[in-house]
Amino acid sequence: MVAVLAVIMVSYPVVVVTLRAISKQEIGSALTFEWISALVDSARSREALLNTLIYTAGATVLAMGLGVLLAFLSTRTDMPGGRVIGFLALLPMLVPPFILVVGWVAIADPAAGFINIAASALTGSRTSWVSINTMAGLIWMTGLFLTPYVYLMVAAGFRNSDAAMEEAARVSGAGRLRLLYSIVLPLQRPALLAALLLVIIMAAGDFIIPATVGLKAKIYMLPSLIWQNHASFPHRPGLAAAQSLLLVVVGLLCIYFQRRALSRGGRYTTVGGKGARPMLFSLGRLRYPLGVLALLFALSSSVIPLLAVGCMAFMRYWSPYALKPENLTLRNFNYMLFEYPQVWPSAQHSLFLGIAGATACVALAIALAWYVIRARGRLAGIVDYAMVLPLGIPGIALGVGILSLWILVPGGIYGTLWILLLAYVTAHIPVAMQFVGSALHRIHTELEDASRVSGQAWAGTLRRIDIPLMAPALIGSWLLMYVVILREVSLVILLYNPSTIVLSVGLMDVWQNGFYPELAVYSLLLLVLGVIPVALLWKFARFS
Amino acid sequence: MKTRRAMLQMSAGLAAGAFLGVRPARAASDPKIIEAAKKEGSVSLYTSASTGPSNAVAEAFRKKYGINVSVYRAGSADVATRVQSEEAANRPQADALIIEEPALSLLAPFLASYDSPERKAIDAAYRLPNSTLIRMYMSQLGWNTNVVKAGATPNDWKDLLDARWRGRFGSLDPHVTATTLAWQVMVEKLYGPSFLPAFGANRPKLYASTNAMSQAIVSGEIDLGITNSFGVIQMAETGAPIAGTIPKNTVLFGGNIAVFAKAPRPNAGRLFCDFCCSAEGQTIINVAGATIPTHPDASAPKAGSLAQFAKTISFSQPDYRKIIADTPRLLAEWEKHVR
Repeated sequence: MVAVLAVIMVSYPVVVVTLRAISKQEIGSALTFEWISALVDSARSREALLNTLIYTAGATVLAMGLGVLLAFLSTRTDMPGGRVIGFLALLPMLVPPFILVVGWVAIADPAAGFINIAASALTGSRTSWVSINTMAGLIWMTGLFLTPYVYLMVAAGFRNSDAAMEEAARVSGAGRLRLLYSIVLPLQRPALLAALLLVIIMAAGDFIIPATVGLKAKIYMLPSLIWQNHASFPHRPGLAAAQSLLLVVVGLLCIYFQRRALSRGGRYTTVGGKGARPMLFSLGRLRYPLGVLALLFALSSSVIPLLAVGCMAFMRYWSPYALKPENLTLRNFNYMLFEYPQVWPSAQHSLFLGIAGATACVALAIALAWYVIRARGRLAGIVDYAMVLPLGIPGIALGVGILSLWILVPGGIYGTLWILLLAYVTAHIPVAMQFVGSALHRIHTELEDASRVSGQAWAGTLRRIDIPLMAPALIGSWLLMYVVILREVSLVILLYNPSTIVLSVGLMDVWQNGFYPELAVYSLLLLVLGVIPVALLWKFARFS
Repeated sequence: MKTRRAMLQMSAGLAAGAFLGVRPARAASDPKIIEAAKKEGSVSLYTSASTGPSNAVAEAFRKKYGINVSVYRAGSADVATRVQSEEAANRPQADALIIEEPALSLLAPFLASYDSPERKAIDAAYRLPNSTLIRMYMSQLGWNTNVVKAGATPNDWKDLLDARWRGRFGSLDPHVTATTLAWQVMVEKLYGPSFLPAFGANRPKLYASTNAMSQAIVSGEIDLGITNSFGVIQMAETGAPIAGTIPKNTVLFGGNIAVFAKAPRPNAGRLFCDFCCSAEGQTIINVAGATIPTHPDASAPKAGSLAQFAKTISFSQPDYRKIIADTPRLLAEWEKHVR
């Protein structure tokens, strides 16, 4: 029953968006291929597709490279400060994307960025060494933004690696590099593929960076075009739906290749019955230089933009030239925290939705992953494929799909917090499934068999064997859901109403109003709400 | 010089009739409507005005009548899309609307005819059967005073074609801010079809909102830009290095108040409309938004007076119905030459 409802929950937005792409006007009107052919004929759509592919590939390579390297260095080597670097590497995930955008503009804008101001001071004339308003700049920001997702998905796998296999390889004479390439990395294939899928689709569907710096740099991408066709004149939801379908195709292709790569299932089980902590790789003379490099990266990916935004919060107005004592003020805090009417209601809604949404996602993911991977129910194949569908749909299109159905249901959840909760769970259940599924894949069935032989039913086995073994992945998954829900904008921008405003939407409002100091204070509040549970759970995870 | 927030606080004070020189609002609203509105208990406002003025007028209304106002604020295109979706599904949520053209024309079929008693004093030119103009502002040039020194400042739109501003100035994108279409129509009329290609060749940076561009001017991202009067005024109030000029020919924009025909709380919506039309309400929203009121007794001196501006400036009054019909051509030209 849960499986059937879950399949319906994730499928109808796809169906609604697909129908919208082939309907002349609203769903139910005459069918047409006008929007599909407009998509093919439009030079802007083709340019956006090409840009999206370049952007996605670049950001994916950067995020995967950095995420895997940082995860490996901080969990499997004797690099000093591994835990601190691990926490710093996760920080960008907690930082609202607007902070990253505003922070990087403050650092690397060709005219007003700190780097180029310093360059101009050194050379004595207007000099631009770096520019964030380029494809490379967009890739850099998005790559850094996505790195923690890779880190989170891969680090748990590295920590739980099967020491016995590595020991066997070492006894057989394998060197450190051989061990890395023939045992350690291949065993992480499910986690790596899950991270790769997630990062590709998140990069392809990201709209905040393309719609802010991308628009300024005139680099157009599919999500920003979809957003414009939904929310700007002329309103062309049919064309937006057709453009969404392109992203759906990209998503489904990625899923197909991931599934094919995973189809050789049993080989990736890495938590066997005879557990032992895997050994740490010695970095030798590279120990400290690599530690410094990792720390530098971690600092530049979040701490430096945060410092830039932190400066803004205390200024009467924002300009890098205005960093003088006479321009400092606490008024922005007073105004945003005590006078701005949307702040506290939106914080309450976000907290409720973050906690309830993350918990619902993880609980549903456990039930569905068990059903698909272990119970192998009759609908397992359908559930498995259906649960990844929302990944292929950008948030705004998913919002349209959910809105289009629920607005028609009299007395339904439209206009309440429940429609936002439903949207969050629908959008993020695939990611939770990736986490839980890859963790369940790594648990060898011999442990469950032992539990069953000892008289435990499936529920007892799940509770006593699988959930404790999956705890790092479940905690990681919950944290990810929580912080993603806290800062999600595109999904809920069409679904909220005045009485259900959330922090991220309020933040977008302030961003549109353009007062960076107020935006900075609002962002810092969102950051604090994200950091507190992460810090608590991090501590818990450390002792568990 | 007062800060923007000090002005907002002053706006709240106005609700209690504490502002010197402005008469307290006459009790012009129908007492039956006041009574019924209080029973309804709240108002849902959809607004495309900035957060500052929207919140200021909502808070003042709450203080005056004890009726809460839930504010949904978004760009005018977003608001229009939302209303159209809700109306199509017969699930109207909003009672009152504050919006600019051309979105107002798009939403006209969903609005109630309401002749608020508070709008009698407002010039007939600002009144339509189902909406009332309550705030005005204009398109203008703004620049960073640390970068653009006196004597080198631009005076007219065609100064933007000067090579010294190449890649150093900003514009709004008409795909996002539909009011920019009116500016596009005006410059085409003033300078002919060769203006837009030359404008595009000078490589403007594109921004999603007036305030975002004012921020970019102040931070030094760009030297100058095509902004709106309130953007320059509000940013200058923070002490930021920004100044501007209104070219001789410019476009006048306006925010309109209206009530929805299918408002779930029709009396509260009407009472809110009365308040926004009144001298008291218009003073509050225009002081907070640095815009020009249409009520003769309302006072928002920072934004200046339309009569004074009219002595030296020729305002373009766009035909928004024509602009809506012409949008595909205008956007295609923008795509070709600017983007």
